[in-house]
Amino acid sequence: MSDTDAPQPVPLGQHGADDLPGPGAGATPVPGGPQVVSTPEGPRVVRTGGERADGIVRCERCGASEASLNVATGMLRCAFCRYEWRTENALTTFDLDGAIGDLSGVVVGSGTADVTADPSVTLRCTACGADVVIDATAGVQARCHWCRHTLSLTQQVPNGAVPDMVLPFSVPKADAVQRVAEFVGKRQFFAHRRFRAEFTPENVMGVYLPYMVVDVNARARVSGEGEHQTRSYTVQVRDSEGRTRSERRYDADVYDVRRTFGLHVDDLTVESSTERLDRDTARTSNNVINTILPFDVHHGVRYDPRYLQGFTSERRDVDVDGLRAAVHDQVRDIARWRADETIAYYDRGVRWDRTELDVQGERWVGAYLPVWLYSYLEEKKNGSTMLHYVAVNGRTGETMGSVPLNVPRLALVATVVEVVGAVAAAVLWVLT
Amino acid sequence: MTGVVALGAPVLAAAGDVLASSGGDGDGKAVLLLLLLAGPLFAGWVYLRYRNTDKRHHHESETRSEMLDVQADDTFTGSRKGLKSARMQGANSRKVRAP
Repeated sequence: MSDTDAPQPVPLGQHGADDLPGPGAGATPVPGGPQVVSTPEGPRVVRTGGERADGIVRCERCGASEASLNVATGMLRCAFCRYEWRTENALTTFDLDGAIGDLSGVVVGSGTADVTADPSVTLRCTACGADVVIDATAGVQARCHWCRHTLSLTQQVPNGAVPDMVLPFSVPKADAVQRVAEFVGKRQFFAHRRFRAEFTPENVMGVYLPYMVVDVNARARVSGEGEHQTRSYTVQVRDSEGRTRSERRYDADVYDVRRTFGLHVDDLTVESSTERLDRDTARTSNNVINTILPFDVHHGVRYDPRYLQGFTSERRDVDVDGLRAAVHDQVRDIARWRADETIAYYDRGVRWDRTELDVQGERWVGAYLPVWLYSYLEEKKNGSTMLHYVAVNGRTGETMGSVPLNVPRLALVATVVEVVGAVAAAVLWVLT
Repeated sequence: MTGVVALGAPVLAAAGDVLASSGGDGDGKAVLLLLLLAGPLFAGWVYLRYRNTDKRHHHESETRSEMLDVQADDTFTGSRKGLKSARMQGANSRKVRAP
């Protein structure tokens, strides 16, 4: 089988996508609502940052700086006057949900700008004038150590901490705790002894993880070879010892198969932190976090740091250019998957040799998506460690996890099973 | 030990059923092989159930997509006779390649 997928060039309008500068290049912040900035050779950048400055973000009614998400309603609630309000839908507000067929070239939200700045940002408290440092690797809010106001990072400094949109949690913590407990409860017998002893599902943490949400308008062309069965029959075959036995044989017609079609991919979601992109299951259990995708990202709201109050967040550290190849690989998979609907005639199967993708337009939006995470650090006897997660999708409740094993117990039981199997095999051998 | 008994009984029952229904030489060998590998198969099943290392997001089917203006261009190139497998060799139309 020859697969020419990887090295194929991907035309993108008049220029190769890899030649394009990052979304932030040449762009100037513009206050106000959605603004579009385009450079002659670069992508169109949709400004999603707005006019808000870093520092104290006040309640619209009483002016307090303390507000957080009410998971039950999906709205922000002031901690003092209990006023609740909703932030506008991000994709609609910034016109990032237009028809995919109309997409041409590269459109990016300004929250996807290349990460170039230091994650630590110093803010001046507008209430008392003190300087407060926020480490964006750990969060986007900090409390002024003098006047106790909450300060928030709202400007899109290119350090990956402020995305275009955030999808608020809608699964409450109690629900997540129950799902984690049920998941682990079904995996008790072979679970690591210490894990079982220390298991405390109430320690589940709400985390906003960074993702890129991508729409792609492409023309796909897949080609290969297909076989259609024309006859099936039985033949008598003589082995080397002269004994004959029956075997099945098949005749088939062979075709060169080609499918060309337009492909609109909507809300393809990929992780945008180096740590989460590492899905080597020998080192990490990040694959279980990947498994709980997808999210209903079309319900994402305009980024507001107050949605993150009470949760933690992880900073994006991978840029659009660093993810483009992986996204196009996934789009090729989708193209082959869809083409599969058109090859029913080839009942013996099709071998796709080439998948060509002509990307006419793509749209990138940076997002914080909600995940409930229960983590457990397994320390192995050889000194290495392994971080196990049980993850719950903060919107759909889909749950997946990795439970560390009690290897000696599993080995013992597997040995017993092997002995039973061997005895059964011997009995069957004698009987037949 | 309970797990062993619980596993052993159905395996033996299944083995007996297959042997009774098939009578074929190949099926009998397959059951014997299954029984001889019962321990590793059980360990692998438990490992995957607890660690879920085989799980991932199925982007190819779980991502919304639309296919438009489909053009098919198929050309007959010949016939193959006496093939031993019921499936085309190298068929990969359902295989996912992105990590």
